[in-house]
Formats: sequence, C-alpha cells, structure tokens
Amino acid sequence: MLLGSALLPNQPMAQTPPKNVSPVLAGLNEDNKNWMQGFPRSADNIISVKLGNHYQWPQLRWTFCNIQQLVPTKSIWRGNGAPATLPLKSKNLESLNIVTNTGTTLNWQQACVSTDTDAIAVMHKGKLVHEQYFNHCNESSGHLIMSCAKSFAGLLAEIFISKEILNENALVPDYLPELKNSAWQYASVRQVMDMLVGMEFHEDYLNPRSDVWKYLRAGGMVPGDIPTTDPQNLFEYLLTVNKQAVHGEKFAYREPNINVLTYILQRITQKDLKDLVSEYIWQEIGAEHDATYMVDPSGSCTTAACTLRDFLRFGEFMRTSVDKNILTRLTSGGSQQHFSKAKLPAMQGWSYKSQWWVRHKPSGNAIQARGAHGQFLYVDPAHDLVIARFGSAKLPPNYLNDSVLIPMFDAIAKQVSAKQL
Amino acid sequence: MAGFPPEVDAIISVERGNHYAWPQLQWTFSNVQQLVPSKAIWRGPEAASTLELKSEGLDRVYIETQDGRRLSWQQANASTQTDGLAVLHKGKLIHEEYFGHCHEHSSHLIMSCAKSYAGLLAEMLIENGTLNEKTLIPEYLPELSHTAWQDASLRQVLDMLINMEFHEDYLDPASDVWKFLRAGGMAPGNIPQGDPKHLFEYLLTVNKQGEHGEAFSYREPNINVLTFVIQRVTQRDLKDLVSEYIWQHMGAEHDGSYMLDPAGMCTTASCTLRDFLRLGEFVRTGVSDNILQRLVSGGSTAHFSKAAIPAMQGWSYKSQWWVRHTPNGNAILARGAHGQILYIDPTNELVIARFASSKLSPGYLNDSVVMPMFDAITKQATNR
Repeated sequence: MLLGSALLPNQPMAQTPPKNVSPVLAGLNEDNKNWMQGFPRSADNIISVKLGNHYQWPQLRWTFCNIQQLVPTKSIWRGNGAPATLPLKSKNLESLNIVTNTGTTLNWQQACVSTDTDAIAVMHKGKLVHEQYFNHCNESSGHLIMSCAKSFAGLLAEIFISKEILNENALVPDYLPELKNSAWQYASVRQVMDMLVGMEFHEDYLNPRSDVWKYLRAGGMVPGDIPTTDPQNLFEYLLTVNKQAVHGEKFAYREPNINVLTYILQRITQKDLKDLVSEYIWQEIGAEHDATYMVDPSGSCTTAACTLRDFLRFGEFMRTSVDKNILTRLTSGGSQQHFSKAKLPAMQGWSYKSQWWVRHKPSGNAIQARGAHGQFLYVDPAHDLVIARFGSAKLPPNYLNDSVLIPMFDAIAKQVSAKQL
Repeated sequence: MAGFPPEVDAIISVERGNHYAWPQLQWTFSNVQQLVPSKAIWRGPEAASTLELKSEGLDRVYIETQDGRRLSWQQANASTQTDGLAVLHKGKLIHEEYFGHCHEHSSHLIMSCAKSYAGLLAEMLIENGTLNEKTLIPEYLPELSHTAWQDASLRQVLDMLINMEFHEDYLDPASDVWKFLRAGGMAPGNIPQGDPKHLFEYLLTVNKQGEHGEAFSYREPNINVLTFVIQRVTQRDLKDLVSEYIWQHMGAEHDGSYMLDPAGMCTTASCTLRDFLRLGEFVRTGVSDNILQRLVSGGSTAHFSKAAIPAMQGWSYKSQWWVRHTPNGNAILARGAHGQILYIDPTNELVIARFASSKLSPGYLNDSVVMPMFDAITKQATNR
C-alpha cells in the first residue's frame, strides 16, 4: 500500500469489519525490528520513500511518528513564547475495563494494544490525567494526524466567518473563480464546510484509473510520476471534478472539499495555511513543538503532524478558548437527517459541522477530529474532557476500531466525571 | 511559489529538477524544508530570548573591496547576493536586514556551516570526557579500519588533517565528489548500481593517500566521520545532541532543521538568521572558556598554508571552525557554500551572521567584498 490510500478512507465506508479477526489478536503484530535505529542504520532497517517501504506494515508505524524525515514539509510555528505546562495527575485510567460494542471485556492494555494505539492522553478540567506512549511514539514525536488536519481548516473558517472576512453563504466561485465549471459551481462555503456537496468522485482503490488515485497522486500522497495528462497538483485536480446530484441534501465525506476550503482561506487572506494555523491556533494553545504540514507537488499544505501533548492542547483550546458562538455552533452539530443518508453504521445519530464530526448524546454533544489509521481528538465539553489519541492501525478506516475506542472514551468520561453520558 | 496555488511555471520542486537552478536556488535556500525530508532541532520549552534592534547606521558604511572598488552598503549586499545580514555587538542587535526570499522567520540553508555544530559538540564531549581527541577513528567506528581513517586520530579529523583519495571534479560525472553527493542525498536522481547508497557506505570506500597530520585539506567526508563518531559514542541522533547542547541554550526562536542522507542521517542544516546570530553569541559567551580559547587560538598556520587558498592567507582551521588570524585577536568563522558565514570576533565582542544565495558555490569568491565589509562593520561598531 502507498501512503496515499490512507488519506481518504477516513471516510467510514458503509461496510462491516472482517468478522473472523479478533481485534485483540489483530493488534498483537510483533515488530521486533529496530527500524531506523543505529549509527548508521543497517541496510535492512532503513525506511524511505525511495525504498517504497514507508507505508508497508509494520514500517508505517515508524512512518507515522517520523513523517518529517521522509517527505517535504512546512513548519507551523509555535511562536516565541514558552509552552503551557502540563503536570500529570494520574486518575488510574489504566485500571479501567472496557466493554466493547461487540460485548468483549478488555483491560486498558488490551484495548490500547488491540487497536494499535501509538499514544493516548486525557485532560479533565484542564488537568492532564493520563499520558501514555507505545511503539515508536514519544512525548516529542510529531505524529501524522491525517485528515484531522481538516478540523484546523474548519475552525479557521469559523473564525473568519465570525470576523466577517468569509461569508458562509457565498458561492465557492465568488472566492475561487477558476472553479466555476466544476462541482463547486453552485456550492456555498457552508456546504463545503459541512460536506454537503454532490460531486462525481469514483473511489475504488483496486482500480488504478479511479478518481481517488488521480486525487492522491495530485496531492503528492502517492510516490511515482504523475501521468502527463493527469492533474499535476491538487488545484488542477479540483478543476476536473464534476457535479453529481444536488448540494445541501446529503452528507458525503469527500476530501476534495477540504482542499477547496483551504484554497478559499488562503486566497482571501493571501497567507499560507501554515501561517494561518500558526497565527490563529498554534501560537494560542501554548504548544511545545512546531507542527508540520505535508505538501502537494505545488507546495500547498495537505495533512499535518504534531505531538500528542500539542494535539491535546489544541483540544483544550477548542473547549475553553475559542469564541463561545463558534463552540456552540460546532457542538450543536449539523443535520442528523442529512448525515444519516451516508449510512455509516459506526456513527448512527452523529452529524458533521465545519469539518468536525459530532457525536450527539444526552448530556451534551462531543466533537471530534478523526484521521485515518486511528487519529482522534475528542472534545466533550459536557464532561470538561479532552482525549487525544494517535494510532497506526494496519488498515486505514477508523470505524474498524470504533467499537473499542468509543466505549473506551465513555469509560474514561465515567472515570473522571460523575456525570451521566 | 507565490499565490494560492502558484502559477504552473513558478513552481519549484525536486521532482521538476529546478530547485538548484539559478535563480530558483535563491528561493530554495530560504525554503528547503518544503523541498526535501528533514529533522527538526528542537529549541526546547523555553521562551525565545529577545533581540531588539538598535540600529547603528551600518547601511551608511562604505566598503573598500580588496580589488580596490568602493561600494555602498547596498551595492556590497546586492553584488554578493546577500539574503540576510545581522550584527550583534556586545550582545546588542545593531543591524538586521533581509533581501530576496529571506525574512525574519524563514530558515535558510547554512550548507557546510553545519560542520561547526559538530566541531563544537565534539569539543564539549572531549571536555566532559565522552570523547578522547587522541583516539584513533577505528576505535569508535571499527568498520573504518580499512579506510583512509584507519590510523587517523579524532583530532586530525576535527582539524581536517587527513590525507585521503578524493577526486573532486564537478565537471566529471565519474568523480568521487558526485558519488559522495549522491550518497549524501544532495544530488537528485537514482544512485547507480554498485555505488554507495548512503554516506556511511561511501566512507567505507575512501582510501588513504600519504600521511595524516601534515597538511590541511578540506574534505567533507571528515565531517561525516565526525558525526558518526559522535552519534555512535552517545547513541543519540545528531539533531537531539545539537538541540540538547546548543539549540536549547541560546534562546532560539525557531527549531533548526537538518537535511538527511538516504539512510536518514543528518547532513547539512538550516536555521533563521536570528538563531544563527544567537548561535554565534552562544559560542562567544556561553561555551566554556577553554573551548573558546582553543578555537580562537586556531590550528597550525603552517599546515593550513599548504592548502594554498589565496583568499585565506595566514588563516588556520580548528575543530571544524575556520580561524582568521589578526594582530588584534583571531576571529572564528563557520562558512558554507553560496555565501553562508557566521563570524565571531571575541576581541571586538562582535558576531555577524550572513546568509546568501550566490550563483556559484565557492564561498571564497566573494571574500574580497565580504571580509572588508566585516572589517568596516567592526570599525563602525567599535568606534562608538
């Protein structure tokens, strides 16, 4: 597999996980090799794009913690201040048992290992109550967050709407005239933010001529040369996407919407996305490390990487420091009816708002950034709770582990807070 | 690369093979992280030190070049393709100026200046007893026992006193230098079958040529030997050592970054101008007196003169720093191709950091302007 195929399948496709594989056993892939260790490395423990092994299993676990060493990136500066301190006050989460949606009881370690957890940290009422690393991940490693990066863009869009720099009712071609003959001809900014755009997007990983491969190559996510007749970068790709059906009626998770949104943000501000994220987010959260963006062949930002502690700080920033109107808009969520048309079994009753997934629940909704192979930022204002979680699962779709992880998050909420779910 | 997206004919990338073409390399030198894999040198959890500019009117200085021309400040900068120039005197920022694609927050390639990080680290590790300068290289790296370094001491490597076969003809594709650059990930394209696949493999192929310890000979592979010794002994990555021993102690504003060879080993580096300046100030005031003294005293000018470098007559080389000997006290310099210079003059309490992206790579080509410029800066700064 190639790195590229990981970006898209964050979309929880309407299918069920393989039945005969126990999640516990699936996670116990032994990897005793010292990937990229030693001075110098030995010939058989080198991981690189040129060797073509960076997205193979189990090498991808190292890749996810070391992406800057493998590909071109841009830094998201954390500013010139000192980071917010995060003293740990453990709440013994490792003593928890998790009852999965399939009825299995797992202890904490089993739950972490069976889902290929690289790291998990929990903040309750602003206090760090748990922090734990596995595999190649540590406190200072920038881990790929895959499609979670879209939630940076969604937040920025909300901020610019509040500042009246961006009009959510404007049509996309008002900002990007080049897209007037594409799927986004009559799409509003709001529809793009909420993934309510009807577009032709053939997504078959087994067919080399499928749209998804063209898209991934244009995004620089697939090694090798781009055929000369294909789009050479993301913006060129966007120009080729046609409309399908009507907008505004059905949730459809389509990554190109994220690129449209980020081009709008950059076009209206005339600033690079990495500078916008630095200025509006990373310099505000008390980050300890610069984050990084990956780039497409024309140098445009795609997905990102950051440390676990900074990901957690970002979640806490969402919970406590963004404009209350923005937080309310996100947690209120989008239309559950539109969302249900996507038929995602692992997310029944959920919705999607401004590039955040919204889990509707009685005590108050939780918002989530989700990225392929197990990246989660879970913000639950009703429980004063933020959970940051990195994974490097063998298979990209996240819904495969939702039956363990969502109950795990609920067990955490119960342990730290007396409130009902 | 301006615009969202940039125009098709304005895109610079390794894939297009235009990142090292002129004038694109001027953009490349200020944006290398966007083009190639890298590793961050963490600046640590502290806040950055403040550097407030109190201009001392250096832009009114005239420069008498060594070939007898009189240039205004602007002419001197423009004619040497300066990207950034900043000056600290007694710890105060008295000049900071950017040109081209360079600005306060952009990281600029420092090319071979990165060897001076390694030289400084080695001095620190010698001082704390981790390294012994008299030890022969194969004691640290047994794999090199049949190479040019088989009987070379760590000190000889530090001072570039190694006599090795190294054919350096940029016009000959079969020259050693191209094998070396390909193994270092510094030349685009695939590595021919049978050639070394990364730097350490390259080192294994280098043969001895005559005696060590008698003549200065600037050979980049010595830098790689040094960095492998440091990493092998400490069992830590160079980027972590530079972070822990240097970058976290100088009040850096940004992470530095290393470029990598195909095996992921650190090669050259980049940083912001302000952090390069802070590094100079750290060397001037933050390292032990013994280390600073050893660097500033310099190496053997007799050994150095054998290299017959016209632009550096009377200079020497010590622990991967160039040493300019002057009657009033020596200055030490980190120097990198295309015009990168960190100039530390303890006698005059002066540090100058300079970035450039000149069309031709040899740094000395502009010395006839840049050295008189540094002297004019010194005069202007110290006369006050």
